[in-house]
Amino acid sequence: MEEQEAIARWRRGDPEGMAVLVRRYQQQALRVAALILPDPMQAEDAVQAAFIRAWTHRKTFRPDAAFWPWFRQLVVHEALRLARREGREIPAESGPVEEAGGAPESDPSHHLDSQEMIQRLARALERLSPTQRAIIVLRYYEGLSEEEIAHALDCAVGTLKRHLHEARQRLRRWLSDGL
Amino acid sequence: MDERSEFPRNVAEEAQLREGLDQIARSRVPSDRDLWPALQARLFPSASRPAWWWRRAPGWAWRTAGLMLVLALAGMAYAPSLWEAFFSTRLLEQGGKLQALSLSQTRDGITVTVERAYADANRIVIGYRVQGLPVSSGISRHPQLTLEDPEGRRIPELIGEGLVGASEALGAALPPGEIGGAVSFDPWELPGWPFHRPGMLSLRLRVAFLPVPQEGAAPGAMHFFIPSQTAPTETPSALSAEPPPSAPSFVFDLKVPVVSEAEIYGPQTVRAHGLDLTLARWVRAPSGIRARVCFVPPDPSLVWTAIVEQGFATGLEVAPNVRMEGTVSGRALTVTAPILMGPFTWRGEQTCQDVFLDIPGGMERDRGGRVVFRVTEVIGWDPQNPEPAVRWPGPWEFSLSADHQQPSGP
Repeated sequence: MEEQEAIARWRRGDPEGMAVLVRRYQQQALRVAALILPDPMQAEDAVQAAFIRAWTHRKTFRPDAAFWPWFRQLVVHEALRLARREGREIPAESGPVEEAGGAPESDPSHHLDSQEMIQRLARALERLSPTQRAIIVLRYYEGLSEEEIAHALDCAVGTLKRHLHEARQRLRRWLSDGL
Repeated sequence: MDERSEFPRNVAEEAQLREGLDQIARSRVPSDRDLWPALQARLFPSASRPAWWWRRAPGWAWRTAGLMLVLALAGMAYAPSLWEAFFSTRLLEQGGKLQALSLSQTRDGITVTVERAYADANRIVIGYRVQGLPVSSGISRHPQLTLEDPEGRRIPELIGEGLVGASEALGAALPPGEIGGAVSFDPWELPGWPFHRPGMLSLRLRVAFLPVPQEGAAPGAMHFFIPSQTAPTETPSALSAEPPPSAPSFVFDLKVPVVSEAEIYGPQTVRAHGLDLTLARWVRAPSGIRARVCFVPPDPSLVWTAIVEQGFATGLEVAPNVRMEGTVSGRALTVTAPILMGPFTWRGEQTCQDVFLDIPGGMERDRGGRVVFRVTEVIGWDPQNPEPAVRWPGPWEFSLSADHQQPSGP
């Protein structure tokens, strides 16, 4: 079934259309959620909740719009909701960022292809607040612009830029320092 | 910003980060994970349920009705528009009775648009949408609407509904940064209402924004209700010339046609167990049925509540949203319970209560069918004690026939 037909059937309340969309987008959604929620079970909960929300709100979907950006927003919102419910916000999020030791010789990107650095990146991500994680994921994994992220997270572009700046500073410092 | 202190800081590092994120994501998500069976079980259980249904909670009061009504609407998902999603505008929108407007004002980046207006013998309804509201940390701004007549007298609010983001209960969603809402106002305190109504109402609508602590930091996925700040009447005239509590940000001058369709009955007085109870008025209008019952309370120191129900004679088709109660006093009746009840208020020696009731679908198709309005019991409460102080049994039964119909119109 083509995606457009699946979307049309989903909007009409046809479970077959819903099934096609779930199977087409569940992996992508689970990966985005898993980057925001390190607990795989929570990530799965978030994606299931997002699919249920997509079903109940399918009439609000504009037929001429792309499904993934619309659904991705639901996934991110559900992931953030679960993360906040678990109290995973890092207090340092709103505080000043220490000056990072980002000297050229400690360039983390030199080694990011190694498994050790991948692990280090994963730990660094977990130390970010859920909001900052979501911003990093949307910016660098999903390739959204700052304006698109601000719209998706319902915040001002200036606020988004501040979060992104702080998140990048922390990543640089934590990756360089070996956490 | 010193980009040297950040990661990533250039295109090459961005590509490396993207690759790193992808590896992490793939390591956490099994490639063969399939959510569909679990979702299918949750979304489409084998025991199919009706496409929609209606739940009631008896004894709702004005001040709590908002939340209860949303709960009652839990089964009414998938409404195609905001105005069909809201309880207070659904039937009017579906019937094409709401006046569509597009009156917009923008100030400081905030745009307020009046999209719907409506007036009939029982209610004045304003539907609005707000775009561009800033959200500061922990604070959101909720719109507060006040309505005035041409003399500057404030018309009391009956109930308000609103939506921020997405609401599963309402089956509707708005884009981030938007708020939509519908507020019902009480025209019964306007001069001559409900018996004599103008063909057109001149109204001044003020929209202000109250900062309130934001509940739940996640954007979207919440709905809110504006609690009714004003009981239907607190004095013989609840209209107030007092200014609204906060400075208005937006002012709209509206001309709203008044739908003339209305049946008005009353007054009738019936005695039961030595207590006279008066159905001061019973008004059927497109926005619903509204009734006012009054009596001289046996003990004026108590707060009184009336238990009310309404019956429609047999032979009428039962609408899905009407509670069916079988037979009453040996006669088959379709019975509806109030959907909104106001507090008793003093009018001279009498204490009076307003109730809103549904219009069953069958009744819409068979106007002229006999209606029985019944007060089964009045209860007196000591404000200091949760137990009833006095239970005065009825019933007081009012048969609404042509003999009791009142002339009404412009």
